[in-house]
Amino acid sequence: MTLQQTIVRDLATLDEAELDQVAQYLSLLKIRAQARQQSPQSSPHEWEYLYRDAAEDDRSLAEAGMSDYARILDSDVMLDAWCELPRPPVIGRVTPRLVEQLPFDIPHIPTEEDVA
Amino acid sequence: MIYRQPLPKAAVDQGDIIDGCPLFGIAEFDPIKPEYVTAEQSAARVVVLTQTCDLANQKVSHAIVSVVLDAESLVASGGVKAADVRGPIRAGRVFGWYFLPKSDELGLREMIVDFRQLHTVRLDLLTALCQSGKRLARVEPLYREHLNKHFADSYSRIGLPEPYETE
Repeated sequence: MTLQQTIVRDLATLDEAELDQVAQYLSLLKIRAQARQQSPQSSPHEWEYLYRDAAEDDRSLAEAGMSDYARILDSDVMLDAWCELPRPPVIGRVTPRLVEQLPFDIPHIPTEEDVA
Repeated sequence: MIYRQPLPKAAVDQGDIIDGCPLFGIAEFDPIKPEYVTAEQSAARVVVLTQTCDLANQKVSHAIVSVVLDAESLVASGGVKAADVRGPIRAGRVFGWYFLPKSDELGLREMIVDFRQLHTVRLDLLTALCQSGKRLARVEPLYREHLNKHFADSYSRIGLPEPYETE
């Protein structure tokens, strides 16, 4: 029995929840395969060329100083959300009397009149 | 690749996008009469943020969800600009907001998760919604971890009074 046949046989014994986990793992394998396609392996000769090319870039950047680096840092600055996004529309309101008497004393909240 | 449509019977999991989730909030509260509180109800699209391990090990009876908003509507209402959506929000450079892409296959438009609108919702309620076909999609592994990392970062960020000096 081949590995494929074994897997197919085992799959038939799984319940829906287990199949769901298998589906998740399969999608992870697809992502890995896609990532490999996007970064193909180079030959040693190509590595040497890329290294030499990068070394020249490094040297020219070092000579140019830190201004470019600072610009790159600026472009990666994280921002805070700058506004409140709208709440979902209200579909109902209710004002129930929660309890006859609260099981604790409500602290007095100072009003503007108190402060004055 | 980013989304998958789980079977309706599949258990609630991290990254599930669910429509019509009932949410409650306090609309009015009078400190003089604290026993009377006006609550308001809404129904929103949410994404489950509670981690898979906590859900799988049945360690929780409630799940943390965040409200998901339609990006195009937000742009139309003027809350955010289209360039902001395509730029810093999509790139994950805005604390508090997370961009989710559209899916023609699942009929999803571009969305923004608002981490500032958090709720805890009973798990059995979410399960019932999923079983009734309200689960639109599930954000797949790696992407959902990326989503949760941004959620955690939004609440663990530390703002320095001013940037470090440099020469």
